[in-house]
Amino acid sequence: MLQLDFWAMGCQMRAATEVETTAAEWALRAIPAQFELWEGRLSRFRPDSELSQMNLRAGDWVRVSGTLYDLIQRAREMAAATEGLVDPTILPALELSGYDRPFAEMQPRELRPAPPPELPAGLWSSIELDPDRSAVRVPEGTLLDLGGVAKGWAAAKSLESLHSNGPALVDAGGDIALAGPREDGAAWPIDVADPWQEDGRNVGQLWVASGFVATSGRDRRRWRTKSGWRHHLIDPRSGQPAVTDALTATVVAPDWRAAEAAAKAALILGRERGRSWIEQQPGLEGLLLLEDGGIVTSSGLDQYQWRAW
Amino acid sequence: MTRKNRRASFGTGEVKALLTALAVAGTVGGWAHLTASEAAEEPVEPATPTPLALQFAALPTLVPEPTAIDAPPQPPAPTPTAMVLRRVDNPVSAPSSASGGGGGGSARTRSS
Repeated sequence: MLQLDFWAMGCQMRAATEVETTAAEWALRAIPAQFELWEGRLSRFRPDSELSQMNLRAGDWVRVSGTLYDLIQRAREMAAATEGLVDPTILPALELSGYDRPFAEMQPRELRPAPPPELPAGLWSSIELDPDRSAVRVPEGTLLDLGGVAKGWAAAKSLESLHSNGPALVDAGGDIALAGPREDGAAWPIDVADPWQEDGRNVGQLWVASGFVATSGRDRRRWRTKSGWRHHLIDPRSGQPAVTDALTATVVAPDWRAAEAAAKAALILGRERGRSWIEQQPGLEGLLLLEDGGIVTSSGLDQYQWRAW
Repeated sequence: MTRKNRRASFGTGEVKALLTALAVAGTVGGWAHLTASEAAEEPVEPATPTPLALQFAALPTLVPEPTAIDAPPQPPAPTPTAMVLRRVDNPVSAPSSASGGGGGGSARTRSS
């Protein structure tokens, strides 16, 4: 098995293929450059990125690349599927909450000004798309953030390029795409990080033959303000960081959009409603790690040999 | 020159002459004052909305579309990110430990 570890999009990435041919190695080695290209196009922290340029023209129709168009289209689909719980128009609220620069540039425990009381998002349904001309119009007064969508999309895209050679895996900072089963017929082992520990420990393990695994959480990318701790997962209903009893939510799904959207929606909804929401979605299983240390799993998670340590 | 004098310097005839000149140039009130023969040569377009396609034709492309993403496999180009390629053992088909390390080809899901 060939395995490539690299850094992109502010996260540690991993790609692996079971096929050790020259073609497979080339495909593997090409992945970091793809991520760099996508990050340059989709990062809200780069003023010259296509996303930033498009945000500057909110209210106008602009032509965009196929990459950006595809991402925005997927983000809209995810918002519709979650009734707006996963909303790409939360960026103004996110920035006002304090996350207005790359997280690595935010000082640890930095005491930032208290954010305004509320700034609802919810403008996702007003994003207009014209497929014939690959054009987009973002509603005036809002901005798009595709950070949560881009990693899942990138993992899925990268897996496509590897999968033609055989079983493969792409782990984009915890958003995982799997093409399998492996050559011996076994599934891939997926460790679930322990959000209560910062020493790399895991809370359990899943075995997934193929599909997607995504985790959303408020255990990372959080900062302190004069009105308390804030985190990066905005609840579009309030325009504020989500108030929830869940610390992280992990979802296994056959589709990367479903995994991404469901993990975030479940986290925002919390213990009871989050689990219930996952169970209502066909083909989805998942678990929520709670603030009080508890673990809640969907009824069918055992099919992935879930085992808590 | 006093204000009164300046006002007096434009007589009625001069104003009319100026308006006539402007009318000929087609600038008064934003409307062209055309003679009958000119109107025949340059018919006025009906007041219809601009077709949508024309608006899009002028849309700026923010960043040129890359060619590398959808191109067939090419030898790898140098990348700006440090990367480590390793040949690893297949992951063992048994649970790994709480501290991770499920072997090669394992992954770890977490919030990011």
